[in-house]
Amino acid sequence: MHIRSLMDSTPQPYQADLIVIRSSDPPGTSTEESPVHTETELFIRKAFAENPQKGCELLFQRYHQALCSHAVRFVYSRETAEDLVSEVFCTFWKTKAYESVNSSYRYYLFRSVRNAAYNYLRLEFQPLEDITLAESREEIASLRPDQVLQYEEVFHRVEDLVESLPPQCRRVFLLSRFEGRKYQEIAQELGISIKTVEVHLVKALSIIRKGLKDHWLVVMLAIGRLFPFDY
Amino acid sequence: MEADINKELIFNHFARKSSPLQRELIAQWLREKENEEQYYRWLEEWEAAHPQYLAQTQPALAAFSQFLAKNPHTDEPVAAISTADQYLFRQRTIRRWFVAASILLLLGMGGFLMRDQLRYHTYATSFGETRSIRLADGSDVVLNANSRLRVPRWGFGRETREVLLKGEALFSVTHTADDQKFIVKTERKVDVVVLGTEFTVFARNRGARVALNKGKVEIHYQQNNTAKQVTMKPGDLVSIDSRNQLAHKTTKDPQEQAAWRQKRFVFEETTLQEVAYLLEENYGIHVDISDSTLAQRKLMGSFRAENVDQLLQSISELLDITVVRQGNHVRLSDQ
Repeated sequence: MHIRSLMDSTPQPYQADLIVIRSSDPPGTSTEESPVHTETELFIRKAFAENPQKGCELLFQRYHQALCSHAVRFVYSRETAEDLVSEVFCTFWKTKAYESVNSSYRYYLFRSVRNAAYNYLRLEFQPLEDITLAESREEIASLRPDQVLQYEEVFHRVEDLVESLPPQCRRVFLLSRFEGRKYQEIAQELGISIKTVEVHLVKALSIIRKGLKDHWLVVMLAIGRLFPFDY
Repeated sequence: MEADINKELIFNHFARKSSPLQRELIAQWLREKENEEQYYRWLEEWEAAHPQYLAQTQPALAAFSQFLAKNPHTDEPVAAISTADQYLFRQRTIRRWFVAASILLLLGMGGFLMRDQLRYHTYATSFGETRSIRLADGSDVVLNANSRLRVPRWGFGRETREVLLKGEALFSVTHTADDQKFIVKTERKVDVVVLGTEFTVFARNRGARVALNKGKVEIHYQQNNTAKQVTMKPGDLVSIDSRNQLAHKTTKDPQEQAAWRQKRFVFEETTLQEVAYLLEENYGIHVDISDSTLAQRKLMGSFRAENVDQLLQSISELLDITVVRQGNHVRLSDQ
Protein backbone atom coordinates (compact mmCIF):
# COMPACT_ATOMS: atom_id res chain seq x y z
CA MET A 1 0.00 0.00 0.00
CA HIS A 2 2.89 2.38 0.44
CA ILE A 3 3.10 2.46 -3.32
CA ARG A 4 -0.45 3.63 -3.51
CA SER A 5 0.24 6.55 -1.31
CA LEU A 6 3.29 7.38 -3.38
CA MET A 7 1.16 7.41 -6.48
CA ASP A 8 -1.30 9.91 -5.15
CA SER A 9 0.10 13.37 -4.98
CA THR A 10 -2.38 14.38 -2.29
CA PRO A 11 -2.96 11.55 0.16
CA GLN A 12 -6.47 11.57 1.48
CA PRO A 13 -7.19 11.09 5.16
CA TYR A 14 -9.22 7.94 4.51
CA GLN A 15 -6.23 6.28 3.02
CA ALA A 16 -4.55 6.17 6.36
CA ASP A 17 -7.42 4.08 7.76
CA LEU A 18 -7.33 1.97 4.72
CA ILE A 19 -3.71 1.07 5.14
CA VAL A 20 -4.23 0.04 8.75
CA ILE A 21 -7.16 -2.17 7.88
CA ARG A 22 -5.48 -3.72 4.90
CA SER A 23 -2.14 -4.45 6.47
CA SER A 24 -3.76 -6.34 9.29
CA ASP A 25 -5.34 -8.73 6.78
CA PRO A 26 -3.28 -11.79 6.15
CA PRO A 27 -3.67 -12.77 2.52
CA GLY A 28 -5.89 -15.68 1.73
CA THR A 29 -8.59 -15.03 4.27
CA SER A 30 -10.81 -13.34 1.76
CA THR A 31 -14.09 -14.83 2.84
CA GLU A 32 -13.90 -13.56 6.37
CA GLU A 33 -13.18 -9.98 5.47
CA SER A 34 -16.33 -9.05 3.58
CA PRO A 35 -17.31 -6.29 5.99
CA VAL A 36 -13.96 -4.68 5.37
CA HIS A 37 -14.79 -3.96 1.72
CA THR A 38 -17.24 -1.33 2.55
CA GLU A 39 -15.10 0.03 5.35
CA THR A 40 -12.30 0.93 2.97
CA GLU A 41 -14.74 3.16 1.18
CA LEU A 42 -16.48 4.25 4.32
CA PHE A 43 -15.14 7.74 4.12
CA ILE A 44 -16.38 8.16 0.57
CA ARG A 45 -19.73 6.62 1.46
CA LYS A 46 -20.14 9.16 4.19
CA ALA A 47 -19.27 11.92 1.76
CA PHE A 48 -21.94 10.63 -0.62
CA ALA A 49 -24.51 10.70 2.12
CA GLU A 50 -23.74 14.35 2.83
CA ASN A 51 -23.08 15.61 -0.66
CA PRO A 52 -23.14 13.28 -3.68
CA GLN A 53 -21.13 15.70 -5.77
CA LYS A 54 -18.32 15.73 -3.26
CA GLY A 55 -18.52 11.96 -3.03
CA CYS A 56 -18.16 11.62 -6.79
CA GLU A 57 -15.14 13.86 -6.81
CA LEU A 58 -13.46 11.90 -4.05
CA LEU A 59 -14.21 8.67 -5.83
CA PHE A 60 -12.80 10.03 -9.04
CA GLN A 61 -9.62 11.14 -7.34
CA ARG A 62 -9.25 7.81 -5.65
CA TYR A 63 -9.75 5.46 -8.59
CA HIS A 64 -8.99 7.47 -11.72
CA GLN A 65 -5.33 6.47 -12.01
CA ALA A 66 -5.90 2.76 -11.43
CA LEU A 67 -8.87 2.62 -13.80
CA CYS A 68 -7.05 4.46 -16.59
CA SER A 69 -4.02 2.25 -16.19
CA HIS A 70 -6.27 -0.77 -16.41
CA ALA A 71 -8.35 0.43 -19.37
CA VAL A 72 -5.26 1.25 -21.38
CA ARG A 73 -4.24 -2.41 -21.28
CA PHE A 74 -7.25 -3.10 -23.49
CA VAL A 75 -7.41 -0.12 -25.81
CA TYR A 76 -3.75 0.92 -25.94
CA SER A 77 -4.70 4.54 -26.22
CA ARG A 78 -4.25 6.94 -23.37
CA GLU A 79 -6.93 9.24 -24.68
CA THR A 80 -9.48 6.50 -25.22
CA ALA A 81 -8.75 4.98 -21.81
CA GLU A 82 -9.28 8.30 -20.07
CA ASP A 83 -12.42 8.99 -22.08
CA LEU A 84 -13.86 5.61 -21.18
CA VAL A 85 -13.11 6.12 -17.49
CA SER A 86 -14.61 9.62 -17.48
CA GLU A 87 -17.66 8.31 -19.25
CA VAL A 88 -18.15 5.64 -16.61
CA PHE A 89 -17.98 8.30 -13.90
CA CYS A 90 -20.45 10.51 -15.77
CA THR A 91 -22.90 7.64 -16.11
CA PHE A 92 -22.38 6.85 -12.46
CA TRP A 93 -23.49 10.39 -11.68
CA LYS A 94 -26.30 10.69 -14.22
CA THR A 95 -27.99 7.45 -13.29
CA LYS A 96 -27.43 8.05 -9.58
CA ALA A 97 -25.89 4.65 -9.45
CA TYR A 98 -24.24 5.55 -6.15
CA GLU A 99 -27.66 5.31 -4.53
CA SER A 100 -28.37 1.82 -5.72
CA VAL A 101 -24.92 0.24 -5.67
CA ASN A 102 -24.92 -2.42 -3.00
CA SER A 103 -21.42 -3.62 -3.73
CA SER A 104 -18.36 -1.50 -3.18
CA TYR A 105 -17.87 1.44 -5.52
CA ARG A 106 -14.64 -0.20 -6.57
CA TYR A 107 -16.54 -3.25 -7.71
CA TYR A 108 -18.95 -1.13 -9.73
CA LEU A 109 -16.25 1.04 -11.28
CA PHE A 110 -13.86 -1.74 -12.23
CA ARG A 111 -16.61 -3.82 -13.73
CA SER A 112 -17.98 -0.87 -15.68
CA VAL A 113 -14.60 0.23 -16.99
CA ARG A 114 -13.61 -3.30 -17.99
CA ASN A 115 -16.91 -3.73 -19.73
CA ALA A 116 -16.63 -0.38 -21.52
CA ALA A 117 -13.07 -1.14 -22.62
CA TYR A 118 -14.07 -4.57 -23.80
CA ASN A 119 -16.98 -3.22 -25.84
CA TYR A 120 -14.87 -0.45 -27.29
CA LEU A 121 -12.26 -2.90 -28.39
CA ARG A 122 -14.82 -5.19 -29.90
CA LEU A 123 -16.56 -2.49 -31.88
CA GLU A 124 -13.21 -1.26 -33.13
CA PHE A 125 -11.69 -4.57 -34.05
CA GLN A 126 -14.70 -6.63 -34.89
CA PRO A 127 -14.44 -8.30 -38.24
CA LEU A 128 -16.93 -6.99 -40.77
CA GLU A 129 -20.19 -8.68 -40.16
CA ASP A 130 -23.16 -9.39 -42.35
CA ILE A 131 -26.60 -7.94 -41.86
CA THR A 132 -28.05 -10.74 -39.80
CA LEU A 133 -25.28 -10.30 -37.29
CA ALA A 134 -25.57 -6.53 -37.34
CA GLU A 135 -29.21 -6.77 -36.28
CA SER A 136 -28.33 -8.51 -33.10
CA ARG A 137 -25.36 -6.28 -32.53
CA GLU A 138 -27.12 -4.22 -29.93
CA GLU A 139 -28.01 -7.25 -27.95
CA ILE A 140 -24.45 -8.41 -28.16
CA ALA A 141 -23.09 -5.03 -27.11
CA SER A 142 -25.09 -5.17 -23.93
CA LEU A 143 -23.84 -8.61 -23.05
CA ARG A 144 -20.93 -9.02 -20.75
CA PRO A 145 -18.60 -11.94 -20.91
CA ASP A 146 -19.91 -14.45 -18.43
CA GLN A 147 -16.56 -14.90 -16.78
CA VAL A 148 -14.48 -12.27 -15.09
CA LEU A 149 -11.32 -13.89 -16.39
CA GLN A 150 -12.32 -13.36 -20.00
CA TYR A 151 -11.33 -9.72 -19.60
CA GLU A 152 -7.83 -10.71 -18.58
CA GLU A 153 -7.69 -13.02 -21.55
CA VAL A 154 -8.51 -10.16 -23.88
CA PHE A 155 -5.95 -7.70 -22.63
CA HIS A 156 -3.31 -10.39 -22.42
CA ARG A 157 -4.06 -11.20 -26.02
CA VAL A 158 -3.81 -7.55 -27.01
CA GLU A 159 -0.50 -7.30 -25.19
CA ASP A 160 0.81 -10.34 -27.04
CA LEU A 161 -0.25 -8.92 -30.36
CA VAL A 162 1.37 -5.55 -29.71
CA GLU A 163 4.47 -7.41 -28.56
CA SER A 164 4.47 -9.43 -31.76
CA LEU A 165 4.63 -6.37 -34.03
CA PRO A 166 7.95 -5.72 -35.75
CA PRO A 167 9.92 -3.16 -33.70
CA GLN A 168 9.52 -0.14 -35.97
CA CYS A 169 5.87 -0.93 -36.58
CA ARG A 170 5.30 -1.22 -32.83
CA ARG A 171 7.05 2.08 -32.18
CA VAL A 172 4.85 3.85 -34.71
CA PHE A 173 1.75 2.16 -33.32
CA LEU A 174 2.51 3.18 -29.74
CA LEU A 175 3.46 6.74 -30.65
CA SER A 176 0.29 7.19 -32.65
CA ARG A 177 -2.17 5.32 -30.55
CA PHE A 178 -0.88 5.45 -27.01
CA GLU A 179 0.75 8.87 -27.13
CA GLY A 180 -1.83 10.22 -29.57
CA ARG A 181 0.86 11.83 -31.74
CA LYS A 182 0.20 13.14 -35.23
CA TYR A 183 1.55 11.27 -38.27
CA GLN A 184 3.69 14.26 -39.12
CA GLU A 185 5.37 14.26 -35.71
CA ILE A 186 5.99 10.52 -35.77
CA ALA A 187 7.45 10.75 -39.26
CA GLN A 188 9.83 13.48 -38.11
CA GLU A 189 10.85 11.73 -34.94
CA LEU A 190 11.59 8.42 -36.60
CA GLY A 191 12.94 9.94 -39.79
CA ILE A 192 10.49 8.17 -42.06
CA SER A 193 7.86 9.38 -44.49
CA ILE A 194 4.25 9.98 -43.51
CA LYS A 195 3.28 7.34 -46.01
CA THR A 196 5.45 4.83 -44.16
CA VAL A 197 3.84 5.80 -40.88
CA GLU A 198 0.46 5.06 -42.40
CA VAL A 199 1.67 1.75 -43.76
CA HIS A 200 2.98 0.74 -40.32
CA LEU A 201 -0.30 1.67 -38.66
CA VAL A 202 -2.44 -0.15 -41.18
CA LYS A 203 -0.25 -3.18 -40.70
CA ALA A 204 -0.37 -3.00 -36.90
CA LEU A 205 -4.14 -2.65 -36.84
CA SER A 206 -4.61 -5.47 -39.28
CA ILE A 207 -2.38 -7.75 -37.20
CA ILE A 208 -4.35 -6.91 -34.07
CA ARG A 209 -7.66 -7.32 -35.85
CA LYS A 210 -6.57 -10.65 -37.23
CA GLY A 211 -5.27 -11.75 -33.86
CA LEU A 212 -8.47 -10.88 -32.08
CA LYS A 213 -10.67 -12.41 -34.74
CA ASP A 214 -10.62 -15.85 -33.20
CA HIS A 215 -11.51 -14.43 -29.86
CA TRP A 216 -14.59 -12.60 -31.16
CA LEU A 217 -15.54 -15.69 -33.06
CA VAL A 218 -15.57 -17.70 -29.87
CA VAL A 219 -17.61 -15.01 -28.12
CA MET A 220 -19.99 -14.73 -31.07
CA LEU A 221 -20.51 -18.44 -31.19
CA ALA A 222 -21.22 -18.53 -27.50
CA ILE A 223 -23.76 -15.75 -27.91
CA GLY A 224 -25.14 -17.34 -31.05
CA ARG A 225 -26.06 -20.32 -28.97
CA LEU A 226 -27.99 -18.11 -26.59
CA PHE A 227 -29.73 -16.16 -29.34
CA PRO A 228 -30.05 -18.33 -32.40
CA PHE A 229 -30.44 -16.11 -35.45
CA ASP A 230 -33.66 -16.48 -37.42
CA TYR A 231 -33.30 -16.47 -41.16
CA MET B 1 -10.16 -24.75 -2.56
CA GLU B 2 -10.72 -21.12 -1.67
CA ALA B 3 -7.84 -21.19 0.73
CA ASP B 4 -5.59 -21.73 -2.30
CA ILE B 5 -6.46 -18.33 -3.66
CA ASN B 6 -4.29 -15.63 -2.24
CA LYS B 7 -2.98 -12.27 -3.22
CA GLU B 8 0.22 -13.67 -4.62
CA LEU B 9 -1.61 -16.01 -6.93
CA ILE B 10 -3.94 -13.30 -8.17
CA PHE B 11 -1.04 -10.89 -8.66
CA ASN B 12 0.73 -13.58 -10.63
CA HIS B 13 -2.41 -14.03 -12.63
CA PHE B 14 -2.56 -10.31 -13.50
CA ALA B 15 1.10 -10.50 -14.46
CA ARG B 16 0.29 -13.44 -16.74
CA LYS B 17 2.13 -15.96 -14.65
CA SER B 18 -0.78 -18.26 -13.86
CA SER B 19 -1.27 -21.73 -15.23
CA PRO B 20 -4.50 -22.89 -16.86
CA LEU B 21 -5.23 -24.97 -13.77
CA GLN B 22 -4.78 -21.97 -11.51
CA ARG B 23 -7.01 -19.91 -13.77
CA GLU B 24 -9.68 -22.55 -13.47
CA LEU B 25 -9.40 -22.35 -9.70
CA ILE B 26 -9.66 -18.58 -9.82
CA ALA B 27 -12.70 -18.78 -12.08
CA GLN B 28 -14.43 -21.04 -9.58
CA TRP B 29 -13.43 -18.84 -6.73
CA LEU B 30 -14.81 -15.80 -8.57
CA ARG B 31 -18.32 -17.22 -8.65
CA GLU B 32 -18.81 -15.76 -5.21
CA LYS B 33 -19.55 -12.08 -5.37
CA GLU B 34 -17.53 -11.53 -2.20
CA ASN B 35 -14.53 -12.94 -3.94
CA GLU B 36 -15.03 -10.74 -6.95
CA GLU B 37 -14.93 -7.77 -4.59
CA GLN B 38 -11.63 -9.02 -3.28
CA TYR B 39 -10.46 -9.57 -6.82
CA TYR B 40 -11.03 -5.92 -7.77
CA ARG B 41 -9.39 -4.76 -4.59
CA TRP B 42 -6.27 -6.67 -5.54
CA LEU B 43 -6.62 -5.46 -9.09
CA GLU B 44 -6.60 -1.87 -7.89
CA GLU B 45 -3.58 -2.57 -5.75
CA TRP B 46 -1.82 -4.29 -8.60
CA GLU B 47 -2.56 -1.46 -11.03
CA ALA B 48 -1.14 0.97 -8.48
CA ALA B 49 2.01 -1.10 -8.15
CA HIS B 50 2.39 -1.74 -11.87
CA PRO B 51 0.85 1.23 -13.63
CA GLN B 52 0.85 1.15 -17.41
CA TYR B 53 1.25 4.91 -17.30
CA LEU B 54 0.44 7.76 -14.98
CA ALA B 55 -2.84 9.36 -15.90
CA GLN B 56 -3.28 13.07 -15.46
CA THR B 57 -5.85 12.84 -12.70
CA GLN B 58 -5.96 16.51 -11.75
CA PRO B 59 -7.07 17.99 -15.11
CA ALA B 60 -9.48 15.08 -15.59
CA LEU B 61 -10.90 15.70 -12.13
CA ALA B 62 -11.34 19.38 -12.95
CA ALA B 63 -13.27 18.44 -16.09
CA PHE B 64 -15.36 15.98 -14.12
CA SER B 65 -16.17 18.56 -11.43
CA GLN B 66 -17.26 20.90 -14.18
CA PHE B 67 -19.49 18.19 -15.58
CA LEU B 68 -21.00 17.62 -12.15
CA ALA B 69 -21.67 21.34 -11.71
CA LYS B 70 -23.31 21.55 -15.14
CA ASN B 71 -25.52 18.50 -14.59
CA PRO B 72 -26.97 18.96 -11.14
CA HIS B 73 -29.60 16.51 -10.00
CA THR B 74 -32.86 18.34 -9.52
CA ASP B 75 -35.06 17.22 -6.67
CA GLU B 76 -37.98 16.70 -9.06
CA PRO B 77 -37.20 13.44 -10.74
CA VAL B 78 -37.85 13.02 -14.45
CA ALA B 79 -40.34 10.29 -13.65
CA ALA B 80 -43.15 12.88 -13.44
CA ILE B 81 -44.08 12.45 -17.09
CA SER B 82 -47.78 11.69 -17.43
CA THR B 83 -48.94 8.48 -19.02
CA ALA B 84 -50.38 10.41 -21.99
CA ASP B 85 -47.04 12.00 -22.60
CA GLN B 86 -45.43 8.66 -22.29
CA TYR B 87 -47.80 7.21 -24.85
CA LEU B 88 -47.10 10.09 -27.24
CA PHE B 89 -43.44 9.69 -26.62
CA ARG B 90 -43.59 6.02 -27.37
CA GLN B 91 -45.60 6.66 -30.53
CA ARG B 92 -43.02 9.15 -31.65
CA THR B 93 -40.19 6.82 -30.85
CA ILE B 94 -41.81 4.06 -32.84
CA ARG B 95 -42.35 6.37 -35.79
CA ARG B 96 -38.80 7.57 -35.53
CA TRP B 97 -37.55 4.00 -35.52
CA PHE B 98 -39.76 3.27 -38.49
CA VAL B 99 -38.33 6.19 -40.45
CA ALA B 100 -34.82 5.21 -39.46
CA ALA B 101 -35.45 1.63 -40.56
CA SER B 102 -36.89 2.77 -43.91
CA ILE B 103 -33.91 5.01 -44.56
CA LEU B 104 -31.57 2.20 -43.67
CA LEU B 105 -33.44 -0.15 -45.96
CA LEU B 106 -33.29 2.33 -48.85
CA LEU B 107 -29.63 2.98 -48.25
CA GLY B 108 -29.04 -0.73 -48.06
CA MET B 109 -30.86 -1.37 -51.33
CA GLY B 110 -29.13 1.53 -53.02
CA GLY B 111 -25.82 0.31 -51.72
CA PHE B 112 -26.61 -3.18 -52.94
CA LEU B 113 -27.50 -2.01 -56.42
CA MET B 114 -24.53 0.33 -56.60
CA ARG B 115 -22.19 -1.97 -54.77
CA ASP B 116 -19.75 -2.22 -57.64
CA GLN B 117 -19.62 1.53 -58.09
CA LEU B 118 -19.20 1.92 -54.35
CA ARG B 119 -16.61 -0.74 -53.93
CA TYR B 120 -14.56 -0.17 -57.02
CA HIS B 121 -13.00 2.65 -58.90
CA THR B 122 -12.49 2.21 -62.61
CA TYR B 123 -9.71 3.87 -64.51
CA ALA B 124 -10.44 4.05 -68.21
CA THR B 125 -8.46 5.34 -71.15
CA SER B 126 -9.99 6.46 -74.41
CA PHE B 127 -8.63 5.69 -77.86
CA GLY B 128 -5.06 6.74 -78.31
CA GLU B 129 -4.58 7.65 -74.64
CA THR B 130 -2.21 6.00 -72.18
CA ARG B 131 -2.30 6.67 -68.49
CA SER B 132 -0.07 5.98 -65.47
CA ILE B 133 -1.73 5.02 -62.21
CA ARG B 134 -0.25 4.41 -58.80
CA LEU B 135 -2.32 1.99 -56.74
CA ALA B 136 -2.85 2.11 -52.99
CA ASP B 137 -0.14 -0.49 -52.35
CA GLY B 138 2.45 1.49 -54.32
CA SER B 139 2.23 -0.64 -57.45
CA ASP B 140 2.39 1.20 -60.74
CA VAL B 141 0.17 0.51 -63.68
CA VAL B 142 0.41 2.02 -67.13
CA LEU B 143 -2.84 1.62 -68.96
CA ASN B 144 -2.77 1.42 -72.73
CA ALA B 145 -5.42 2.94 -74.97
CA ASN B 146 -9.04 1.82 -74.80
CA SER B 147 -8.54 -0.12 -71.58
CA ARG B 148 -10.27 -0.28 -68.25
CA LEU B 149 -8.79 -1.17 -64.89
CA ARG B 150 -11.07 -1.72 -61.93
CA VAL B 151 -9.50 -1.43 -58.47
CA PRO B 152 -11.08 -1.59 -55.00
CA ARG B 153 -12.00 1.94 -53.97
CA TRP B 154 -11.27 1.48 -50.28
CA GLY B 155 -7.85 -0.08 -50.59
CA PHE B 156 -6.97 -3.69 -50.97
CA GLY B 157 -8.27 -6.27 -48.55
CA ARG B 158 -6.25 -8.34 -46.18
CA GLU B 159 -6.06 -11.45 -48.31
CA THR B 160 -5.15 -10.48 -51.83
CA ARG B 161 -4.78 -7.44 -54.03
CA GLU B 162 -7.18 -7.90 -56.92
CA VAL B 163 -7.72 -5.76 -59.98
CA LEU B 164 -9.84 -6.41 -63.05
CA LEU B 165 -8.40 -5.52 -66.43
CA LYS B 166 -10.04 -5.19 -69.79
CA GLY B 167 -7.55 -4.09 -72.36
CA GLU B 168 -3.82 -3.81 -71.99
CA ALA B 169 -1.60 -2.63 -69.19
CA LEU B 170 1.91 -2.80 -67.86
CA PHE B 171 2.10 -3.68 -64.19
CA SER B 172 4.97 -3.00 -61.88
CA VAL B 173 3.86 -4.66 -58.68
CA THR B 174 5.45 -3.89 -55.33
CA HIS B 175 6.18 -6.74 -53.01
CA THR B 176 4.46 -6.39 -49.65
CA ALA B 177 6.03 -7.47 -46.37
CA ASP B 178 3.38 -10.12 -45.81
CA ASP B 179 3.73 -11.61 -49.30
CA GLN B 180 0.27 -10.51 -50.29
CA LYS B 181 -0.60 -11.80 -53.74
CA PHE B 182 -1.47 -9.44 -56.55
CA ILE B 183 -4.04 -10.83 -58.95
CA VAL B 184 -4.93 -9.39 -62.30
CA LYS B 185 -8.29 -10.77 -63.25
CA THR B 186 -9.59 -10.57 -66.77
CA GLU B 187 -13.04 -11.19 -68.18
CA ARG B 188 -11.54 -14.01 -70.19
CA LYS B 189 -11.16 -16.15 -67.09
CA VAL B 190 -7.43 -15.73 -67.31
CA ASP B 191 -5.98 -14.59 -64.02
CA VAL B 192 -2.42 -13.54 -63.42
CA VAL B 193 -1.20 -14.18 -59.89
CA VAL B 194 1.96 -12.42 -58.77
CA LEU B 195 3.94 -11.51 -55.73
CA GLY B 196 6.01 -8.61 -56.98
CA THR B 197 7.23 -8.16 -60.49
CA GLU B 198 6.86 -6.37 -63.77
CA PHE B 199 4.73 -7.71 -66.56
CA THR B 200 2.32 -6.78 -69.31
CA VAL B 201 -1.20 -8.09 -69.60
CA PHE B 202 -3.21 -7.92 -72.76
CA ALA B 203 -6.82 -9.05 -72.56
CA ARG B 204 -9.14 -8.13 -75.36
CA ASN B 205 -11.81 -9.93 -77.30
CA ARG B 206 -9.46 -11.65 -79.68
CA GLY B 207 -7.29 -13.17 -76.97
CA ALA B 208 -5.04 -12.60 -74.03
CA ARG B 209 -1.32 -12.22 -73.71
CA VAL B 210 0.99 -11.94 -70.74
CA ALA B 211 4.63 -10.98 -71.01
CA LEU B 212 6.88 -11.15 -68.01
CA ASN B 213 9.82 -8.78 -67.52
CA LYS B 214 10.94 -9.59 -64.00
CA GLY B 215 10.00 -11.91 -61.17
CA LYS B 216 7.60 -14.81 -61.39
CA VAL B 217 3.92 -15.04 -62.12
CA GLU B 218 1.30 -17.73 -62.39
CA ILE B 219 -1.42 -17.72 -65.00
CA HIS B 220 -4.69 -19.33 -64.00
CA TYR B 221 -6.96 -19.98 -66.95
CA GLN B 222 -9.87 -22.09 -68.04
CA GLN B 223 -9.61 -24.60 -70.80
CA ASN B 224 -12.54 -26.81 -71.66
CA ASN B 225 -14.08 -25.89 -68.33
CA THR B 226 -11.13 -27.07 -66.30
CA ALA B 227 -8.97 -24.72 -64.33
CA LYS B 228 -5.35 -24.81 -65.40
CA GLN B 229 -2.29 -22.91 -64.44
CA VAL B 230 1.11 -22.20 -65.83
CA THR B 231 4.10 -20.57 -64.17
CA MET B 232 6.07 -18.02 -66.15
CA LYS B 233 9.74 -17.09 -66.01
CA PRO B 234 11.12 -13.71 -67.03
CA GLY B 235 11.15 -13.38 -70.79
CA ASP B 236 8.19 -15.69 -71.23
CA LEU B 237 5.28 -14.69 -73.36
CA VAL B 238 2.03 -16.54 -72.91
CA SER B 239 -0.81 -15.94 -75.28
CA ILE B 240 -4.27 -17.38 -75.13
CA ASP B 241 -6.47 -17.14 -78.18
CA SER B 242 -10.19 -16.58 -78.34
CA ARG B 243 -10.88 -20.28 -77.84
CA ASN B 244 -8.67 -20.29 -74.73
CA GLN B 245 -5.88 -22.25 -76.38
CA LEU B 246 -2.63 -21.43 -74.67
CA ALA B 247 0.74 -20.84 -76.31
CA HIS B 248 3.87 -20.51 -74.21
CA LYS B 249 6.82 -18.84 -75.93
CA THR B 250 9.90 -16.98 -74.90
CA THR B 251 10.72 -13.59 -76.25
CA LYS B 252 14.13 -12.08 -76.41
CA ASP B 253 12.88 -8.82 -75.14
CA PRO B 254 9.74 -8.85 -73.02
CA GLN B 255 10.09 -5.07 -72.59
CA GLU B 256 9.00 -4.73 -76.20
CA GLN B 257 5.55 -5.89 -75.12
CA ALA B 258 5.19 -2.58 -73.38
CA ALA B 259 6.71 -0.52 -76.16
CA TRP B 260 3.40 1.28 -76.48
CA ARG B 261 4.33 3.01 -73.28
CA GLN B 262 6.95 5.03 -75.12
CA LYS B 263 4.60 5.48 -78.06
CA ARG B 264 6.72 2.99 -79.93
CA PHE B 265 5.34 0.23 -82.06
CA VAL B 266 7.31 -2.96 -82.36
CA PHE B 267 6.42 -5.37 -85.09
CA GLU B 268 8.05 -8.75 -85.30
CA GLU B 269 6.69 -10.72 -88.20
CA THR B 270 3.39 -9.07 -87.45
CA THR B 271 0.82 -9.44 -90.18
CA LEU B 272 -1.03 -6.42 -91.48
CA GLN B 273 -4.20 -8.05 -90.21
CA GLU B 274 -2.83 -7.93 -86.67
CA VAL B 275 -1.83 -4.32 -87.14
CA ALA B 276 -5.39 -3.67 -88.21
CA TYR B 277 -6.64 -5.20 -84.93
CA LEU B 278 -4.18 -3.07 -83.05
CA LEU B 279 -5.46 0.07 -84.72
CA GLU B 280 -9.00 -0.92 -83.98
CA GLU B 281 -8.30 -1.71 -80.34
CA ASN B 282 -6.12 1.22 -79.51
CA TYR B 283 -7.52 3.96 -81.71
CA GLY B 284 -11.06 2.82 -82.49
CA ILE B 285 -10.30 2.89 -86.19
CA HIS B 286 -11.97 0.47 -88.51
CA VAL B 287 -9.50 -0.89 -91.01
CA ASP B 288 -10.37 -2.31 -94.42
CA ILE B 289 -7.75 -4.31 -96.21
CA SER B 290 -8.43 -4.63 -99.90
CA ASP B 291 -7.40 -8.28 -100.28
CA SER B 292 -6.32 -11.23 -98.18
CA THR B 293 -2.78 -11.52 -99.55
CA LEU B 294 -2.18 -7.97 -98.46
CA ALA B 295 -3.59 -8.81 -95.04
CA GLN B 296 -1.00 -11.55 -94.66
CA ARG B 297 1.98 -9.31 -95.45
CA LYS B 298 4.29 -9.07 -92.52
CA LEU B 299 5.89 -6.09 -90.87
CA MET B 300 9.23 -5.98 -89.09
CA GLY B 301 10.79 -3.19 -87.09
CA SER B 302 10.17 -0.70 -84.42
CA PHE B 303 8.97 2.78 -84.95
CA ARG B 304 7.79 5.72 -83.01
CA ALA B 305 4.51 7.41 -83.70
CA GLU B 306 2.87 10.14 -81.69
CA ASN B 307 -0.51 9.51 -83.25
CA VAL B 308 -2.34 7.24 -85.58
CA ASP B 309 -1.60 9.27 -88.70
CA GLN B 310 2.13 8.98 -88.13
CA LEU B 311 1.71 5.25 -87.68
CA LEU B 312 -0.33 4.90 -90.87
CA GLN B 313 2.23 6.98 -92.71
CA SER B 314 5.01 4.65 -91.55
CA ILE B 315 3.06 1.56 -92.55
CA SER B 316 2.31 3.04 -95.91
CA GLU B 317 5.99 3.76 -96.54
CA LEU B 318 7.15 0.42 -95.20
CA LEU B 319 4.88 -1.76 -97.30
CA ASP B 320 4.55 0.67 -100.14
CA ILE B 321 0.79 0.62 -100.04
CA THR B 322 -1.92 3.25 -100.28
CA VAL B 323 -3.58 4.38 -97.09
CA VAL B 324 -6.81 6.33 -97.30
CA ARG B 325 -8.29 7.62 -94.08
CA GLN B 326 -11.79 8.96 -93.82
CA GLY B 327 -12.66 9.76 -90.25
CA ASN B 328 -12.55 6.47 -88.40
CA HIS B 329 -12.32 4.39 -91.55
CA VAL B 330 -9.03 3.49 -93.08
CA ARG B 331 -8.61 1.62 -96.32
CA LEU B 332 -5.36 -0.13 -97.12
CA SER B 333 -4.79 -1.23 -100.67
CA ASP B 334 -1.99 -2.14 -103.06
CA GLN B 335 -0.87 0.66 -105.22
